[in-house]
Amino acid sequence: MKGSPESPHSETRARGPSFLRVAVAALALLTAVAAWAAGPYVEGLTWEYRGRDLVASFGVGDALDRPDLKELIQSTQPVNLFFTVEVVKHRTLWKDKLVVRHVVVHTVRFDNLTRQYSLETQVDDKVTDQRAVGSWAEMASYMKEVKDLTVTSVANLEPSEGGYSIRVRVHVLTNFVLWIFPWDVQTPWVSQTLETP
Amino acid sequence: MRPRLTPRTFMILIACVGLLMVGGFILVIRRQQEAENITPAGNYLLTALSLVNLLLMMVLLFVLFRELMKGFIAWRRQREGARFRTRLLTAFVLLGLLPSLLLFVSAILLIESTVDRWFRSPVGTVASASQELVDKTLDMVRDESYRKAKALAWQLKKISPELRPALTSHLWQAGDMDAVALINRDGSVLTKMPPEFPAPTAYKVDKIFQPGGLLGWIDLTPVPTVVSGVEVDDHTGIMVGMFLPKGLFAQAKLISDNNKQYLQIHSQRQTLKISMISSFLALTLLVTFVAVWIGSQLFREVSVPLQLLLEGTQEVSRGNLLHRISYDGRDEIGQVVSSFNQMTHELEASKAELERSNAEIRAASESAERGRRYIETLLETLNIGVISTDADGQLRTLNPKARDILDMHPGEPMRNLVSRPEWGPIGSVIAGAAKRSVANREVMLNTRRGHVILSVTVTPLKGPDGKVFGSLIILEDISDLARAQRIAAWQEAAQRMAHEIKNPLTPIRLSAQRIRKKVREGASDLESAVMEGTTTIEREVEAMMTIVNEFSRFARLPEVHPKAASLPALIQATVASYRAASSTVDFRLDLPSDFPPVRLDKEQMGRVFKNLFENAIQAMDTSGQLFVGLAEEAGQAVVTLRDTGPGIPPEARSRLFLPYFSTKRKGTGLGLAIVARILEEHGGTIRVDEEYRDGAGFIVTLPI
Repeated sequence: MKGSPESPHSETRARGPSFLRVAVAALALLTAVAAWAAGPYVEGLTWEYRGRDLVASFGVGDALDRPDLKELIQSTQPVNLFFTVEVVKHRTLWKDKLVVRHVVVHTVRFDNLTRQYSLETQVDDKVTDQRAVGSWAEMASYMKEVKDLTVTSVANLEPSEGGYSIRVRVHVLTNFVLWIFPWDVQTPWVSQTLETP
Repeated sequence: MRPRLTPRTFMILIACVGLLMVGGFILVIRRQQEAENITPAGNYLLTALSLVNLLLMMVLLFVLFRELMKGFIAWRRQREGARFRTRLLTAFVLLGLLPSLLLFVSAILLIESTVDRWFRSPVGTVASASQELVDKTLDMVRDESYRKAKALAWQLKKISPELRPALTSHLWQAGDMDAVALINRDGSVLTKMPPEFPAPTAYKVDKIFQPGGLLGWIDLTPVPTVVSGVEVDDHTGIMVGMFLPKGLFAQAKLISDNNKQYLQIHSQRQTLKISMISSFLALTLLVTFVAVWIGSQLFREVSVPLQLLLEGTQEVSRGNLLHRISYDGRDEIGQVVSSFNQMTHELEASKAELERSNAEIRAASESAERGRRYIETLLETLNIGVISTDADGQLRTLNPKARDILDMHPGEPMRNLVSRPEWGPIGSVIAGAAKRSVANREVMLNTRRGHVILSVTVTPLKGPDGKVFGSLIILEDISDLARAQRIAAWQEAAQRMAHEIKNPLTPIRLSAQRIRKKVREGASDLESAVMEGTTTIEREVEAMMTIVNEFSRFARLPEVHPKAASLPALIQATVASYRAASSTVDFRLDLPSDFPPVRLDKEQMGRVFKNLFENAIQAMDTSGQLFVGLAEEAGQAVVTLRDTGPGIPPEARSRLFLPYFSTKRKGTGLGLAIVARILEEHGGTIRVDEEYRDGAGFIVTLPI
């Protein structure tokens, strides 16, 4: 293609830095969004009334596959996953009221001699389960799931105009940004509306 | 004034902040290193501690930024001392920041390389290889136990379930395995040897009945045992345990523990870097802040007194000498401030003194002005002419009478006077006065109004140091007085002349009458009488001729022709002629041999001394003592003549130098008049020596 030999180059030169800046900014934004989106997430939040209790099950995805967490576990350091479960009561023109909160901690410690994973579950600082498994898959299955957690009694859920929600968030890891800023790697809150019995 | 932190308080504060930061960092690091049970609360603690550190750093940065901004704003607004402040702060920031940043960057690079080198070192390889060795060894035991479990399960599968416990016990007793347990699917134990062999957990049971079974599970209690298990059939499973040798297990555990520590440290390498870098960052900020603060403090210590000094100088320049700087520093700046206060104090005192002096000067000036006006009025109203000149002879003052005497128009400039012919005689008197203390001379001026006889008195004006700074010329119109004096003098002279002439006339008349009588009587002694009478007449006429000749000579004194001559020689020569003729007179001379030459007319001056010597000799009646002295005084030759005669009566002293005044019975009265006139022609004077009491004394002065 023939034409003015200068104009295309001039345009390119003139627009080049601008495009480059936009591209870099967009890439940075996409990377940030992707990083945010690629973080751990709550999965399988289910609940049911079992007798007079509200029982919930939930798990966390993309947590134990993280290289930093894997390295931590393989280094025989104890690793904790914090599952925070809250039931909140919605109020009109006012902030939600916390009805109950439970913190379930799953802890794993790898023994490099026996190659066993010691697992432990604490619910509100009380040990409710301890066991050892011999494989990563068993450990991961244990760590990422909380099954049939009794959240609260139905008696605590009075009929309300605003209704209730159950929400879960999982704290996976604490990193440090720029050397000094602690940065929690955790899931966003996942919430479901409770239907009062 | 806003209270400021004292350096001591600030340093304590900085120390506390530094300790808090260091403590916070240590706590964070320890928490991170010992984080075995990190909970959200623990994370909150970490977060809180990090935020504290962050807050402290923000404070440091804020203070740094604030100081720099204050300096920048002050510099932009061109405030006093802003440039100095900016320079000082910049210098201290650079002094603090550059080495700190250098150290910080060096530390980061060192930490990065060192920490990475730690984990790249053979320690990691050794730890990993050792762990692998342990794993392989344990794997061998695992495989062995699993193989034995499978072999036993194969044997048990071939016999009836009732016989299986017995066979199991038999095989264990045969020593083929360290421990064995036959279990049901529900986890119940059918048999196990030895008895302390732990019953299987649910997890193990579950694994045993899964495909593949339980492979090499290691129990550490009661003794380290590798347990493997497989199912025999759907209801029964077999679990075989192999005890790990104590030595092997201890070594394996040691290796695993070491490897565990290495892995933990390895996993914390990033945290380690972060902690170290954070600490260095905090220290860098702290050092920088301290440098900035010290710079700021130094600036305040310097700038505050400087500002006070600046304000003080401005106040002083506005004239406020009461301004004092309040500053208590004992350093050099304090000394400067103290000197400034001392200076303003002295300036104030000087100003007060100056004002007082000014008032005095003003009063003196007003007094002088009053005096000047008084003198001016006096001069204006004086009936004598007053002229003053400066040292260069320029006319300075000319009062109206002087203008009137000199016939000057009212607006005619003074400088015109010196160019007028009337000024000539006055100028000669002034020139003569330059060599004497006071000169007085009568001069006759031809003005447009006719002849005017002036008495001109010139007095040198001398300052306190004796230096002549001008002349005061008094002009007195003595035309009428001179005329009256002249008339009186001539009257007296006429009387004396008449008397002198009358005296010979009487003998002449008597001689003539006697001759006429003798002739009329025809007396016999006529001839003798004629002879006597004519002789008397001739003698008296001769006397009258003498009188007339003297008068004629006084009237026709020759003009003076002065030349440089030796006055001592002239006096010596004159004295010599009298010393030969008057041997009874004792001449005493005091004549210096090195006397400077004097301009004089030797003939006229010889006549002066002859007249004076003759008068003295006649007064001493030809015997006595005559002293003649010569000295130089104030640029004049002073000749002192003292005789031992009867002296001069006081009443005669005022008329001594008038013509035809004489105290002698036979004197003509012209001698001293001629002397005075000759001396006047020479610019000299003669006066009676009032101090001398033993005879007559005269003092003759001549300009040298």
